[in-house]
Amino acid sequence: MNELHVTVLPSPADASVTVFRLQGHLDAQTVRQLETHYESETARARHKWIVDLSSLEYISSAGLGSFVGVLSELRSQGGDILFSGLSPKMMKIFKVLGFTRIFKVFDSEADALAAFLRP
Amino acid sequence: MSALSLSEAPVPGLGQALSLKLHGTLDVATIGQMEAALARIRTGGVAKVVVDLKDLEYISSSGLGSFLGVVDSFRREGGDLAFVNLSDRVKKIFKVVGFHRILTLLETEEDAVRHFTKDEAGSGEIAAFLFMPARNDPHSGEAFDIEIQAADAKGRAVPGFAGEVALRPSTGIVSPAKVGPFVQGTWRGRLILTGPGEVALTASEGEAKSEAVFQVREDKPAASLPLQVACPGCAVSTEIKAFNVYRCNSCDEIYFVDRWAHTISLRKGAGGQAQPPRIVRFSVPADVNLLTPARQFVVAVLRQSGYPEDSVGDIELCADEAVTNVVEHAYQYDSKKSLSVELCMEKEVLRITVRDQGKPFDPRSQGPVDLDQHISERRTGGLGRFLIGSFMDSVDYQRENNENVLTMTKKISRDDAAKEGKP
Repeated sequence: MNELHVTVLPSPADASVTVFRLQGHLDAQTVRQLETHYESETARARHKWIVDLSSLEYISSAGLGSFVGVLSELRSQGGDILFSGLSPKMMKIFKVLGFTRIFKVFDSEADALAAFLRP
Repeated sequence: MSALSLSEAPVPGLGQALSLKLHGTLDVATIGQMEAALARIRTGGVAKVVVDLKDLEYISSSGLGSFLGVVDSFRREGGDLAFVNLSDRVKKIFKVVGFHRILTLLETEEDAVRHFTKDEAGSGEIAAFLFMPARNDPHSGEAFDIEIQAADAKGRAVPGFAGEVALRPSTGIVSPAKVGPFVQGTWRGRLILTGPGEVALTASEGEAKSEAVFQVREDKPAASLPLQVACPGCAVSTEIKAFNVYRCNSCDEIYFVDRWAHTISLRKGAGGQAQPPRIVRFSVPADVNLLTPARQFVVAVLRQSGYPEDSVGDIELCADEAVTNVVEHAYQYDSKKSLSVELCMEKEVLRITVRDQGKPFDPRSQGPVDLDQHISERRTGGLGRFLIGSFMDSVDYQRENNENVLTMTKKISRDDAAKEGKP
């Protein structure tokens, strides 16, 4: 399986939160596909994102950079990106790049959602 | 509070198996502990594990994912993880993510015993070895061709056997004393026995054991020196001036030449099987659509060469980053151009060299990433070079003859013990 499958859906608990479920390989090729989803979500004024990586097999800096590139736009609108489901290998990359300082990382999608809903 | 405790016990009714009980919470904080325990069990030679989840209170998605990664390594060795005593909640989670189709989920430990014993009957447990020597009366010290086949208790071939077999003579010397790996349940190669007289040769692996009797004859006159011999690995011919051990200049094969000019490979895997290559080169068009196949190629080569899985992941990432940089910066998406990647696998060091004929581009890291600045400038690039610098031990860039030459090295050892053996 070479490609990336992206499932974008409003969170069942709160429609203002968008969940991205990524499956497959996120690299310099497949990131373009993901970025079109970014544009359609921001165009619809949805700025709270949960990105679930539990089914993602591979990620390179191109994928990681896409999150960095879109973050200030989301935060300026009161939104954010929360991550869930990182494998130990991805956690290692997150730590090396300092992503764990910038992004909040949760065990599960549900934990991330709870963090958005917390008053 | 997230804590996990693990307890191990033998499984009644199953040899070479263990039961691993998980108590508490399996999440990102405790996965490492579970994975380390399973890795230790596996490297201890136990491939069949009953994972008892009766006292597991919580499992996160990363916990689930880690099972998937681990089970593969057990299955590759002919074993499995059998999960038992799942609570209804855990069972439901396994089902939702589709793991019930991939993992072996059973009700009780007794079911797991049945699962594993059924496996044994199906795959054919080796019980004996069949000897098929070219001759039963070799000269003392003279190499002879032989085929050894793994068989089950009823004498049927066991094509799944891929292990090694120890040889022991009743008297004198046998060389090599260990043969394998078996391919399709068979090993073909050359042996030397010393005599003279009757030699009973025993082949054994675990419980399986067989014996063959040879009538070893007196010495016969040696071949005259110097003479030409062909390397048993790559068939390149060399002149030798003594009957001795040689290392082939072309393929690194280590072999012995006996007094009758027979060559005997001293590596495991003897008998004409190719050794994993030391240097692998490939060229790809500079096209991001080919990133995945290029990565798959790198991963396949590294795995085949016996590198540990976590370093394979690091190298895969760095090769991807280097190739992506060439495509984006040196060639600026001109997919008519091509680039080359070379993997050089030395004993302690892996070296990757990426060459392209694009614009000069030095991809070395300029120090740590200032993420806050990247965020405020909405920059998506610039992280790859930092990852390369972090995961590799050295990164060198040269502009040579209108080429960009990037050389990355990492100190890692191949699992040579499993692949080559010692001469």
